[in-house]
Amino acid sequence: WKELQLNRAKRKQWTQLGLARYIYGSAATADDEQVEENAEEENEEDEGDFFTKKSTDAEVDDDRDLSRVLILATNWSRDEDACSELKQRRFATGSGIDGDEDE
Amino acid sequence: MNSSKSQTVRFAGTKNLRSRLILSVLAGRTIVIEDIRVNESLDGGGIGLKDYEVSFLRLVDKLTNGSKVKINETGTSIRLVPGVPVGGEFEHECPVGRPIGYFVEWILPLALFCKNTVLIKFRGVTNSESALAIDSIQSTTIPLLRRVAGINLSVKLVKRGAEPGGGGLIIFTCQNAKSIPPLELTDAGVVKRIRGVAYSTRVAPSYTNRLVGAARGVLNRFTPDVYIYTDHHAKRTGGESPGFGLSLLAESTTHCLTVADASSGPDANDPEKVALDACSRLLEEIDAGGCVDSNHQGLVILMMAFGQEDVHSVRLGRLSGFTVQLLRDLRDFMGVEFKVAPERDESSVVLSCIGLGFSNYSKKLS
Repeated sequence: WKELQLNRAKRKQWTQLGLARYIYGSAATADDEQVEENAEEENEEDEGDFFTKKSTDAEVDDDRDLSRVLILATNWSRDEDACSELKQRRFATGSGIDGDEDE
Repeated sequence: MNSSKSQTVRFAGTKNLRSRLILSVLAGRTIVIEDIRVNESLDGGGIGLKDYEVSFLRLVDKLTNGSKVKINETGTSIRLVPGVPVGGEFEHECPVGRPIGYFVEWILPLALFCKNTVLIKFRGVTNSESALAIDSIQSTTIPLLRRVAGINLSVKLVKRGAEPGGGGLIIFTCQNAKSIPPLELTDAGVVKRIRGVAYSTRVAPSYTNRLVGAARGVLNRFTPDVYIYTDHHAKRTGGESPGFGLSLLAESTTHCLTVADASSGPDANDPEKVALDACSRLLEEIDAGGCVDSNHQGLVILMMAFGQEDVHSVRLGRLSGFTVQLLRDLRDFMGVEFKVAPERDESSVVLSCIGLGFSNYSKKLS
């Protein structure tokens, strides 16, 4: 259990290191080579997880200077599984949550 | 008001041009941008600055006192020695290449720190695919800034103007702020309702009904609390060109706002297609999570960096390329580095920083 906890803590550290490194270059401070190696792997994963598709240099259109989501990853009109998963995760369901209490 | 640092900051290309110019004025540091579309064959639209970029520069110049702008003969290099943000009342004609939202979006942070109240009459395109629609700015950007900065500001739509002719009129007013209080936006909550505006200009009013019908068809699968207003403008207030579009807003249980919009254009002349685009973009934003949508990530981050000397934190969904570059620019201009804490389970990231303690001296003195 302790090992699992330790791994989780390390994993979190790598993830943070990876994202910070992606943004700020060599700003991250790591004293362990292994951690750095893993951080690089995490970094690659992070690009998929935390950045929109247009965030990669090749896809950023300088001319448009956009900060908008225009590239869609999911077909929200057809993908039923994605819709039901999104509904469960991000939408208020049931009578317990009502948005009109503060109006 | 401005930072005591006086070194020139240099960039290449037009990436994040607006935010860099605004950062230059707020930080009081000279900015030089070179190699602007030097490779004509790649861009295909001519070398150098575009008319809307020059117009944005002119707008920054109007809002400040003592700024010196120098553009080289080919327009591939600019140098801005920033003056003092003073604000005031004036009119600005926006080129039709970009909608008014393109200008308002990044003038907001500058208007907050001006000496006087800002009142600008913008003329041009009000709704377009290339920047936030005015309806989205009204429904999300303005309430967000009221929440973050605690000031009074408004955007009033007088006339709509669709692409390509434009002809819209917007009145933008913004009070100045003394400083930005500590911000903590970390609880995104869940979406409790969706609101929207379906607008049309110089087309049959039934277009708005078709937009609403198509949008409800997608959104009612997620929540029954969907209400979309219709706003039809005939000849007198309808600008120069026919057009239509949809702006959608999702409000969460913690009052976080997520916005997305779509409008007609050369590639989208079908109301159902435009409605589906707007719905998909909204759902994509909701799926990404965070307290602020991708349109407003940059604005919130900028406010945090220039906020009071205290801890500011915000939960964001997927970072846009624009936001990542802005984070780098903030470090280059102001030395502000954010702590980045991704959360795997939530698929979101918490950004926190200590604000610079930037305050509006002109407000203090008055």
